[in-house]
Amino acid sequence: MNLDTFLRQKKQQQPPIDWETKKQKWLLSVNELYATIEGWLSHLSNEHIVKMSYNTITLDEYYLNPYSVRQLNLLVGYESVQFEPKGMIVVNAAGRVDMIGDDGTLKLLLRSDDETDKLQWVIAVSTVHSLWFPLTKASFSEALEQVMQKNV
Amino acid sequence: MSSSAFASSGEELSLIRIWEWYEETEQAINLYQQEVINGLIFDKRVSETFSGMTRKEVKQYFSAHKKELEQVVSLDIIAATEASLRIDYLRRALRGKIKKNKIDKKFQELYHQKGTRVSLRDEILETWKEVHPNCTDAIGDFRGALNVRDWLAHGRYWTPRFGRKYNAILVFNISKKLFDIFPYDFSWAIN
Repeated sequence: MNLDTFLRQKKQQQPPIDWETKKQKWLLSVNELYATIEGWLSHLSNEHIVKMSYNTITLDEYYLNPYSVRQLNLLVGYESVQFEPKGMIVVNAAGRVDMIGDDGTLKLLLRSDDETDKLQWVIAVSTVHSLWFPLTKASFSEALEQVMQKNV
Repeated sequence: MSSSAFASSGEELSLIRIWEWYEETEQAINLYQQEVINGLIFDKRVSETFSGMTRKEVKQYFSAHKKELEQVVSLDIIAATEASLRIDYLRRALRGKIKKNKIDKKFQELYHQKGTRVSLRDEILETWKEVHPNCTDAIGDFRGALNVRDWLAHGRYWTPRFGRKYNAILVFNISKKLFDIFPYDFSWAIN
């Protein structure tokens, strides 16, 4: 088999993937995540207890062109927690945002619900033991406690 | 003592047997990696161990596994080489009345003094070097590999200074070269 035929066949054998549509859904989900967090923290933001800001990062996910995505930064006094999108092409999920604090990192995974098939954000406590919780105000609060400094 | 005075366990491995196992195991790891990468691309569920990993992280995960496999195989090769050298020593020392060459006689003398508690580095290898000086370089290379063996076998708790970068194929070649250069048949240790 010559080079052209070999590579053409390789390409034909692979089912096409609509990366662009997936990307749009993923970016929408990230924005929804941020909106949810902002909603939970709005009164604390109004009281200047927490400060929320955004910066733009570039993701290079190997199978598609690099693209921009927003990163949420949460500032509580001198301590910060970043919500850093890691990508939409991740194993067993439609996306991942890392919650990075001074005392640890937790993964937020965009997973489809086993029953409804609807995408939802979950907090992965341990992927080895399949331990995760749906992202709710209560689980978010516990997650923040886990990644932020314990002795302050 | 007769030649039947020493009987090996029969569980020792040849270099080729270890290498075949290494290649098969690495191939299995590669296939598993491909399954996980395909799961990531085509949205197929795979083991939850990998949940949330990016392609780069999956690659890093399996790369670490392959590195670990290489360390284990390196240890196995060096240990198997030591076993073959010790078996050869005992066979020669316990050869009985069969016509003996110089190294047989040296090993017999050594056996009378030390028995099985002979040092591989300071006695068996030194005797080979003394009797067959043309093997000096190959023995020197194997001595270097023994430092890797020591480091691996003792749990890698110190920072090694090996002077060269060892990997499984280098260790395999060092061991094979040693058996190839000895002026006796060591094909049983290789194949």
